[in-house]
Amino acid sequence: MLRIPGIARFVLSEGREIEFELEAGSDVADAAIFILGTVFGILLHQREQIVLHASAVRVNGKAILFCGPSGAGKSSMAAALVQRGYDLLTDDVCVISADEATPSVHSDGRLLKLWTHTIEALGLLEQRGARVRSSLEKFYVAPSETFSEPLPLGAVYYLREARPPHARGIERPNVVDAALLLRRNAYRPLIVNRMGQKANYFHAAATIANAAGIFHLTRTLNFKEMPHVVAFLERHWQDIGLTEKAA
Amino acid sequence: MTRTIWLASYPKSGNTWLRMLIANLSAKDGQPVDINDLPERGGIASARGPFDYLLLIDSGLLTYDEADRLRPRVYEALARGAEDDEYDAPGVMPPLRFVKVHDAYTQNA
Repeated sequence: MLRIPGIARFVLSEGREIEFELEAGSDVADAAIFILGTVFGILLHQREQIVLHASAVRVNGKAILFCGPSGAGKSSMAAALVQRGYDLLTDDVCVISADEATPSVHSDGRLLKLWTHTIEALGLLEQRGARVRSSLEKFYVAPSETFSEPLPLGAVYYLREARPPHARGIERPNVVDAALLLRRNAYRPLIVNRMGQKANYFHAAATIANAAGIFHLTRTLNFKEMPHVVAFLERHWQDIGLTEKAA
Repeated sequence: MTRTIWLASYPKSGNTWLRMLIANLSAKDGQPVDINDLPERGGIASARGPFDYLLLIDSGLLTYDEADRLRPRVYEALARGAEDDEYDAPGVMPPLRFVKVHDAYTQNA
């Protein structure tokens, strides 16, 4: 059982069923946002799936993932790429099947959840929907398109702020670090540890590093720099053969 | 289990200086520690990382009051020696961790 004090209590069974009871003073909209996040995260781990705290966009038919700690810019990175014309797959929870040679990503068709300043900086005001919670300056934002078919995984980037000792750029960690990176960016790592699923994550990391690639993307946290970061990523996608080189 | 040493202090009272001193004292190879790359986290107890990690809840979805009411649970878990978002495996957890805390003693409910 999971309890979010002041919101609700949740019981999850066998990766199939969620029951919840609201606590005094909370409403269903408040509970909904936590069901979409933490509760689904636990449910998917009950199904022994790989669940990353990551946003994802579609590039040339493949899923590109961005993970990192809270506040690292996952949603903003995805939103900037949506502005650039790429389709959004997911905003913060990303489900990966890595039991085949070609890992794939499952879209969940949900909405982005963005802070007002991010929405304004990216000119997405027109797509702004309801508040995530009545008390927060965070809103649901409609992506340009949603998907129902799983997509092959193209690359996983771990977002890092550029400050010493990390200079701007993209680098590929070794497979052991990549495995640690994947587990640390699970949704949530504590669930993986407590539910004894570290081995799953290690195998998935090896498969993903092989078939797609796990990278560190180090950049400054500045909206003005975003077009440069996007251009840099597009060059990287050419370099790793994800997209065609411009003629 | 990792013991937690709380560095309870006002801001600007030398926390980082103390952490650098500790990092240099505990450096295994005897080499000076890079000022920009302290091996030990520059973490503050009230950061989002340990909160989200230990409570499983996205702190970005909570109001300030809700986060305030839950924060003592995070500190309790850290004080009990829980794994944290930096050291999440028994094999790599250090025997000691230093956690900076600036929180005032207030009523949260």
